[in-house]
Amino acid sequence: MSVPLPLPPRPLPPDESSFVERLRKGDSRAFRELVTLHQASLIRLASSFVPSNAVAEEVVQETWIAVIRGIDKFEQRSTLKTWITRILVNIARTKGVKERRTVPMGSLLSDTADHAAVSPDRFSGPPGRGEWSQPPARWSELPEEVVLSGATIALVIDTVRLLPEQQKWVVMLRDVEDWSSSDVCDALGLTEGNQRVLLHRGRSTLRSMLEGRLGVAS
Amino acid sequence: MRVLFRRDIECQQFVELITDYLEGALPRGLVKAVDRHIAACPDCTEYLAQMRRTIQITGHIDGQIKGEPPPQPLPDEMLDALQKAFEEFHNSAGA
Ligand SMILES: [Zn+2]
Repeated sequence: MSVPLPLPPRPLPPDESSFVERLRKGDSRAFRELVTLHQASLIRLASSFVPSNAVAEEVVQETWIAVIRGIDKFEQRSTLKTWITRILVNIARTKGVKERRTVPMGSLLSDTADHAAVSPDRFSGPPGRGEWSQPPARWSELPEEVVLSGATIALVIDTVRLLPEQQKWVVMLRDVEDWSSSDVCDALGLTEGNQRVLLHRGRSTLRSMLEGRLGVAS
Repeated sequence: MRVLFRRDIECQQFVELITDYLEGALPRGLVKAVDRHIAACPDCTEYLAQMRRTIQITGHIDGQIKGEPPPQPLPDEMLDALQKAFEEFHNSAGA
């Protein structure tokens, strides 16, 4: 009776090096697979940072060209996904700077402004250590169709678009694309601590905008 | 009357700690203080539920991020054009 050979441990995350090797050797099937796999998410990301889907498509096209030219220099210290997204972020930022002159950015705070998650007016007691004087409403009592209505989703979309740029990237990658914090830090060049601050500000702004729609006090 | 621990936190502190709390990034002592606060404070319990809801709703916006119709899947001719660019780059690099 033969003793089954132990299976080699399955690498986690899945080993991409053979796939990268195919790309480097010029395997166009591998390249098509790569584009098909990531295109939708890249378009979605790009289109929340530039003013139209047409510009978003340009950003993604340029990203793929940069991927073609850069794959030989990709050192695989991150996954392909985060490397490609990092390229997209840089291209979208460059385009965003050009477009920003023509797009009014609304009145939301900048990435660096110090900003309370909830207005101090809603607390009473010692500054910074107050208790709720205007507590949050009970969203849990709202019907699901109100909470997840088209109007609610539209409000979130509008608010995300008006977030300061870095907060927007973090919210998009973490909460829309469902990335891990370490992948987000890697793609955006942020420390874990910075990433959390940006996430906190973005989510807090979204919650407070939703509160305006779903009710302030019970 | 509520007994205050030295490391107790108040509502206004909780709303600033919430992300670190949800991310598992708080030191253990503060996690305990937050847990204690939530257990005693229905308003912050609701705030926590709202933040979770906010995250959930944000997760639903993909594919409709713009006010205009969602982008179409990549047309074949674009995919073909990219593939051509890929092949040309490799042929010129390999030559
Ligand atoms: Zn509280």
